[in-house]
Formats: sequence, C-alpha cells, structure tokens
Amino acid sequence: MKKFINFFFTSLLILVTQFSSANPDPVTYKHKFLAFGTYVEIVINGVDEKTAQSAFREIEEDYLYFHRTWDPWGQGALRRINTLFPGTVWFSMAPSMSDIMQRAQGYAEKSDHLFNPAIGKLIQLWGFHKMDKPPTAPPQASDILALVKSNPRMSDVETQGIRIRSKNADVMIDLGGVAKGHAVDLGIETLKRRGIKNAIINAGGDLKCIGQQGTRPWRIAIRKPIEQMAQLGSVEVSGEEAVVTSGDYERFYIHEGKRFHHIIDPRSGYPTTDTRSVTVLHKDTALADAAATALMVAGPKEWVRIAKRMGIIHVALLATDGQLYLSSAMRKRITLHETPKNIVVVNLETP
Amino acid sequence: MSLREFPTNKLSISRADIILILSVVCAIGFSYYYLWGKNRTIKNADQNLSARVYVGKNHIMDYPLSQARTVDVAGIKGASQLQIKNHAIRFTHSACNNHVCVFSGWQKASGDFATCIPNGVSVEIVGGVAAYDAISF
Repeated sequence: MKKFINFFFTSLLILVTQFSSANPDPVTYKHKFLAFGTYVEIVINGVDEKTAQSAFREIEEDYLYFHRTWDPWGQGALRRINTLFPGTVWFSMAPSMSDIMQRAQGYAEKSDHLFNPAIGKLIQLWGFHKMDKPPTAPPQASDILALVKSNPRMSDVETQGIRIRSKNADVMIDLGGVAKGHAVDLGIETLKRRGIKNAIINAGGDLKCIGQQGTRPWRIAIRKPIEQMAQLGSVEVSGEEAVVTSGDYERFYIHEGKRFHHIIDPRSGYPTTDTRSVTVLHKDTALADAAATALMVAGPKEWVRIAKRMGIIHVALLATDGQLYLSSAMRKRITLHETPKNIVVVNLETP
Repeated sequence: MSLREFPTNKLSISRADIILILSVVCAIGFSYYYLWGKNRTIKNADQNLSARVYVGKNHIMDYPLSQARTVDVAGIKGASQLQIKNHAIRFTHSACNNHVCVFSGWQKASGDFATCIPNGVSVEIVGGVAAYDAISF
C-alpha cells in the first residue's frame, strides 16, 4: 500500500509540474514601426518591460536615421554620393556610409556582380525607386539596353577611407539589396550591448534571431509565394542566425496583364523570370540579404555556383515552374508544409 | 535475530496496479505532448482571433474574425476596404496604385500581418497563440 501511495503521488507531482509550467513562452515584448519602406518588428523576451521599451526606442531612432542616410533618392548621404558620382573626381562621403559601401562592394564581387547595387539608374528607369509606382508601360528597350551596355558595377567605385569616386558615369548606388540586412545586424548588436539575449529583429521579412523563445527555439515561417500568404515551410533557430527571403511578390506592378517585379537582372536590364523566391540562412544578415538577391538573379541554372562563391550553404530556391531546389544543409533544417512533387537537393559543402 | 524477521523483497503486483501504472504513464505522455509538443500552438491558433486595424501607428478598431463583414477604413490617400469571411480577413481594395496589399491575400492565423504602405492601413491578426514567432518573406 505504501508503494502504491508513493507511486501515485510521484505521478501526480509530475503531472502537476508539467501543467504548472506548460507555457514555455515567457513574457514577450513587441514593437512595430515603419522604416526602409516596410514594417520592422522587434521581439524581445527575458528582460523587464523598461529595458525592452528603451531598446525599442533606440533601434527605431537608429533605423529612421539609417533610412534617411541610405535612401538613394531622398536627401541623405547616399543621395549626395550619387549626385557627385558622374564627375569621376574624388570626393568625401559621410563616414556613416563607409562600412555599408565596403560591404556592398565585397558582396557584389563575391556574387560575380549578380548582386549589383550600382544599377540604381536601371531601378529608377523601371520606376521602382518610388514606393507606389503607377502601373505605366515598361521602359523603352533602347533605354534599358544603353544602361546594360554601360555595365555599371561596384568595381567601378574606388574608395580610399572616406574618399570615393566612380569611374563609370552610369553608376548610381541603390543599397536596397543589403540595407535592411545590415540594419538588422546593427540592431542586434545594439540589443546585445544592452544585455538582451533573446530577440528577433524582422525588417520586412529579413530577420535575425538571437537566443530562443523561453525553453524552445524560435519558430520562423518561410512564406510561399504561389498560394498567397501560405507558408512554404518553417525553420527553428536557436542562437544567432538570420533568415532572409527575396521574392518577386514583394514589390511589383501589373501593366496590360503582365506583372513586373522589382528584382532586376543587371545582365538583361529586365526583372528576373525564372525564380519566385529564395531563402537563405546565415549568421551575417547583410550577406544573407545580398545572397538572396544574387540567387534570385542567378536562378535555377546558376544558383549553385553563386551560393558556393558567396559561402552560403543554407538555400531554398523556388523556381517559377514549381521546382523546389534545396541545399542539403537546408534540407536538414527546413520543415516543408507540403511534400513537394519536384524537389532537387544539392550539396553546397563540397568544392 | 532470525532471518524470518527481515522483510521479503517479493513484489506482488495485481492487475489493478498494472492498469494504474499504464494509465499514469499514458497520462504523463499525453500531457507532455499536448502541453509541450510542436503542434500545441497550431492547435490553439484559431481561437478567439480578431483583426486589429491600424492607420499609421493609430489603433483604429478590433473586429472578431468570427463575424463576416466589410470594413471601410480611411487611410492617408483614401479608402481601404477589408473583407472578413470564413474566419479570415483580406484587403479587397485600397487607394494605392499597385494593390500589393490586395494580392497579399487572406490573413487568418495569429500574428499574420498585411499592410497597404502607401495608404498607411495595416491589419494584424491578434488573439490565440501564434504558430510562428516571425515570418520571412
């Protein structure tokens, strides 16, 4: 009888413990604001509300400053660089531009210039420099061809400290493919400096996690572009890692029944056609951001070569024809929400 | 002291004990899966959900997803129209040029978010438990 009572109460204790601690999610603070033409959401747990709110304010102020500074068509430091570039003479850029410019140059080189922030004039020609471009006809083919032939690249830009010049009069810098990722990295550093160990910063789908959500990893969904707002799959993240997706559904316009999206192939001057979306995991959000854009441009034929050049091993690429390409490292991480009919797995970790 | 005075180690388990042990083991296993399993939040995600509508940073109104209706919202550039149907909400019209918000489709799970940035109108699904902490898109 004594054994029976011991067993009964031990079992009861286990059940009560499980139920009493059943919510593994701790108190979580969230803040959402508009920057970089999208919504930025910060999620923090493991600290008191005052600490979280103070961090929210600092990051929001920083991001609004970054937005003004890095906006190529606003009134900030990048606009000044673009305005002075055609002269081919040396000039001084704002010191706050130096780091992101160097990163952009490095990522462009690594991506074989498929990530090409120097094609601002093409972006402007297509009208994607405006938040809500009226759905007018696409640009004249001759105007597109002239800019493609001019071939503006980040390698045309020379820097010496904060001194900068362009050797190509058609270089116009648009950091849209790296700015959000770089801002996310800087925001995460701000959180860590404040002693915050568990957080997500999500800048319009380009996000980075640190720590975890209570006793479990962060759960990150990856949007599926074909069925609107459904999820392609999800990944779990513990520790510091970025999840970045680029897709042809984020910004676009429809003219005479044809859709034109904002990711321009610098080789053709036209929006990319073979890829719907690319998701990249990496510790460096800025690199993941640039890589996602480069792999959108690379498409199903060249994504393996570009991913290897850029040192990316976690890739999911959804082609326009419905084929899903996964790196073997990503295959181990991703939980697909449907069993895909057409799936190709490629090992990126071999030379 | 004779050996007879020591307690015996003989274990006698009746059928009732076995049933009790199995029941308790099953109860612990089930409660662990129910409370801690991956699907926990997904199962709860459709409970008491509402659509929270914002214009800019201003919270305008919450609308329960259980009641079908059409909602007109005055945005920065003009009107946005939202439709609630089958426990989901979507933009059906907005005073923007490209209607990316309309193409973003139905929002139905806790944490889902859609916005018409040009018109400053946003909608977020609140309540229940979000299946995900963030969405990469």
